[in-house]
Amino acid sequence: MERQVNPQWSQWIGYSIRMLLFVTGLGLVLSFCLLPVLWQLVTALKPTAELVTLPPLLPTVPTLDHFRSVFMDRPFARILFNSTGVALLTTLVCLVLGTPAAFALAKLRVPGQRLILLSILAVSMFPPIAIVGSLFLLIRLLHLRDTWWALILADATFALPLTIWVMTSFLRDIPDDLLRAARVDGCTTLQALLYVFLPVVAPGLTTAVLLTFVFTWNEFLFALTFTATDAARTVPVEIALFPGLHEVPWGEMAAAAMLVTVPLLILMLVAQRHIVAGLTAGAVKG
Amino acid sequence: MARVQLRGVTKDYDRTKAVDDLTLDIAEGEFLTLLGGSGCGKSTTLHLIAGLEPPSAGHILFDDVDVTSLSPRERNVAVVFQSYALYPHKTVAENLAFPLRMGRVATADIQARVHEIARLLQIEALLERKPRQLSGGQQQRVALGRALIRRPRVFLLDEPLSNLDARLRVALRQELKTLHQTVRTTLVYVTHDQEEAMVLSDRIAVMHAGKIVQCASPRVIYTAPASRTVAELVGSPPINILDITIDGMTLVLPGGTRVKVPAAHRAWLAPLPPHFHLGIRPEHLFLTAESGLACATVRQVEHLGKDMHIILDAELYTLTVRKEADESIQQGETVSWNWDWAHLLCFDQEYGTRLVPGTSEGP
Amino acid sequence: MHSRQVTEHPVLFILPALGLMLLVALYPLAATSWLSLRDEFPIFHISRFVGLSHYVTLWHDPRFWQSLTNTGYFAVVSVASEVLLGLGAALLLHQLFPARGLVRALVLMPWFIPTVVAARAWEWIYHPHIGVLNFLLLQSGLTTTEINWLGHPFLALHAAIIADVWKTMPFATLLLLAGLQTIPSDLYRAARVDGATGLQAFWHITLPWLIPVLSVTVVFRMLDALRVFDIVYVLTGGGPANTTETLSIYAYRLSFQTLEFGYGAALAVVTFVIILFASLLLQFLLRRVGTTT
Repeated sequence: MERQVNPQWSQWIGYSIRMLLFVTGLGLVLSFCLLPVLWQLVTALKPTAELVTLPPLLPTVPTLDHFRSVFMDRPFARILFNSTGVALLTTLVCLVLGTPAAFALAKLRVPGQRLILLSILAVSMFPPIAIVGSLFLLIRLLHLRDTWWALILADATFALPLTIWVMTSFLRDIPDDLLRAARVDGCTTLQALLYVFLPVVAPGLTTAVLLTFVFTWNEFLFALTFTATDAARTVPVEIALFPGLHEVPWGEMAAAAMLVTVPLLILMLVAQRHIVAGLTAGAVKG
Repeated sequence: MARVQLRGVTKDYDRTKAVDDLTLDIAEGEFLTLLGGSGCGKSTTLHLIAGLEPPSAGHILFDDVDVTSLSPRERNVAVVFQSYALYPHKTVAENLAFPLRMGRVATADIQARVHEIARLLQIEALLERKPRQLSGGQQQRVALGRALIRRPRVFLLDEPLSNLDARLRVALRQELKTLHQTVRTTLVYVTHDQEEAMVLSDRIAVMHAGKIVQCASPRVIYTAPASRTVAELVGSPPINILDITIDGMTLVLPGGTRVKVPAAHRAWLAPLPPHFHLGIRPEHLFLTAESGLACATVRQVEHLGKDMHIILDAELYTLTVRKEADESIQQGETVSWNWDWAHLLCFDQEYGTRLVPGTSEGP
Repeated sequence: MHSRQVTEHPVLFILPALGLMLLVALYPLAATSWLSLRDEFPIFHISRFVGLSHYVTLWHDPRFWQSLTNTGYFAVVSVASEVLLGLGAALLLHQLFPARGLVRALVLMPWFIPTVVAARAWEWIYHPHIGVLNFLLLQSGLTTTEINWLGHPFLALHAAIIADVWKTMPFATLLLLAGLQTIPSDLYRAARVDGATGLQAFWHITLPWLIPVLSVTVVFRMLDALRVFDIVYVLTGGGPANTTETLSIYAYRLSFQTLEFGYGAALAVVTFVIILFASLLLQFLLRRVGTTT
């Protein structure tokens, strides 16, 4: 009987190995995801002299010079304002146009429903490059070049499929009987949407808002093509055009990157559950 | 309170007729049940009466006034759904008040009516709770309250008890019956549960494939079913059906057993075709000590307290017998059985319609 | 009491959204297609119909085939990597551990950052002299010279792929994690009773269950990857020597740098058709995979 290995002992070893593998795996994943961003943070705080050589890895004396010059050497405050304004307005447009559409597709019987859904999906599959040229000419024709509205129009069109997709899957989850009950209680379809469905689908709305905001904030190609001056230029374009005449201001760029990333980070940490729910809402059910 | 009339109402979905040329008259204050299996069109009919769907053809009238193009609100109907469909983001009080708010009733009146209904349904303590904090039975009561509060002309209920557990279902059934007797609104009830239909209704409309197969009082449905479908639908355990051939004055059971028809019932045979389906309910079969019509083996015995079900196996057919509990009957025993000639039902083999022989059938 | 339709027109609810999409998406697409049949050189005041000649030129254009290869390679390698990595990360995140929500949010971070910012961050890491990647490689003794990640034809494309995988892996992770969480635990219990090992359970339960989610993820990501513009444009600009030039970048350069509007439009149309075809093909293939398992 003493020849038997204590089963609890071998179980413990197996458990420890698994734990070790798990922690290592998790550590690797986290490192992979976070280190590039953390490195940007480090770079932003390093004095310029220390940027051009390695070592040192970490700044000996962290400095905020780069953050200062971001705002002083270029109209970054204005750029941030542009980005925020465009993102907010685009989100608003998407909500106002997209929610009723999603409601109709999810809950009401619409003639040609499949065709409509397919075309909405098709729009989201467009390569932007296929339309940016003609869109540019259209924008110029409407005298909207270098204005917020050019971007809002373009971004809203491409963010709409996403909004509709998210809202449709959330609305579909609400039982049909709720709409019937509202109709019996005297609501028109619009009243049912406003008084009954929107409050119930509030988490979905939050998700749609967040996803649209992030999409617009990060949009590059249209912003690059349709804007010319800081009247309407957004953050991604500004950062892409950063490199100065002679040398690349790595510190300043890192500082700008941080300025742009940190608010997004906070937004995301606060709302991550909503975003996860939204992104996965349709995909899992196919 | 209103009389409801359906005239030639049809509802098409793609290529199927969910409701097929329905004509029905519901009296004022009547409790009418639409009974049938899934897909028979009973819920669709309810939605048509409510005004939630427009009919593809036909008219719906309340008190002889055509309401076919009116919205549910304009018809003044109320609906209780199987899932209750309570507004999850509103409190019980707000749920109850919602139809009144949509109807632009004055706020002071709303408060009074909410409390009145809450008192009637004994849910006053729950007024500030949200639906997810309520039990199934409580939610059902709130759903009832939301329907009643508008004092509708017609009250429509779509399988309101099927989400509840068995005991609660029986208790709430009685409450519903009492409620109807108090309020006396015209009530249309949809269910697939034949026991519910039998207990609650003034009349039952049995539906199958979008048509009404029979519309009569529970008693008539039970004792004089219009077709084999109806006969098999009501009654628990279900009616026994046998394939019968007539040979002169004898009935031939499956397997060849010959049963002589007693003189008193000979006239009964005359109008019957040579082959038909015979229906006999379990409570009209009995076991005999001496030789009965035939013999069979007891395959299974089910004790239900006061009653018992005996399942008899006779090679080519099975019979279920219902009688008072008797310990002496054992599985595997061979017994002889007999039936009550006065309670035989005969059905056409091809179409299932009941053939009415000219003898006593019961009221 | 006036007569009212029992149901109002639901089409009105959709019309504004559809209208916008028609105007801003479909009309320019049609316009681009029309443009691809013309020669437009405003500077030289040339505007004439040339039929399908641009498409013929495209067929014989080696730079087109190069960009097509680049794009295809990029898409396949990138999507495969991010789905595999995403699956691994999802499996890890599927376990219960403290602060799981926080970790999940942190893993999501690369996806949130503007692509341009990510590109610049990686450009900094890839810098041949003062980039931290070369520094770490030299220090650890894995290499002996400074590697020009973005300047070497073969390496540049892979450097871009790594940056893209970094950016998009969180999306795959999220979707796959959600898929994992729908698997009923009873399946694993039954497998354990039947004597299956962890690996067998993974192969016979987890993977088959995930196939629908995997399909959706792969299709979406492939379509995105084939359209790639932002990250490659900022990271390499399409160089060195067009070895990282994707279809979108080539089209963009034609239209906005060399101002060959007609030819650029033709390429844009071809890109669209390729992507459409790819999406249909993928859907077809994945449906086959789904039905045969």
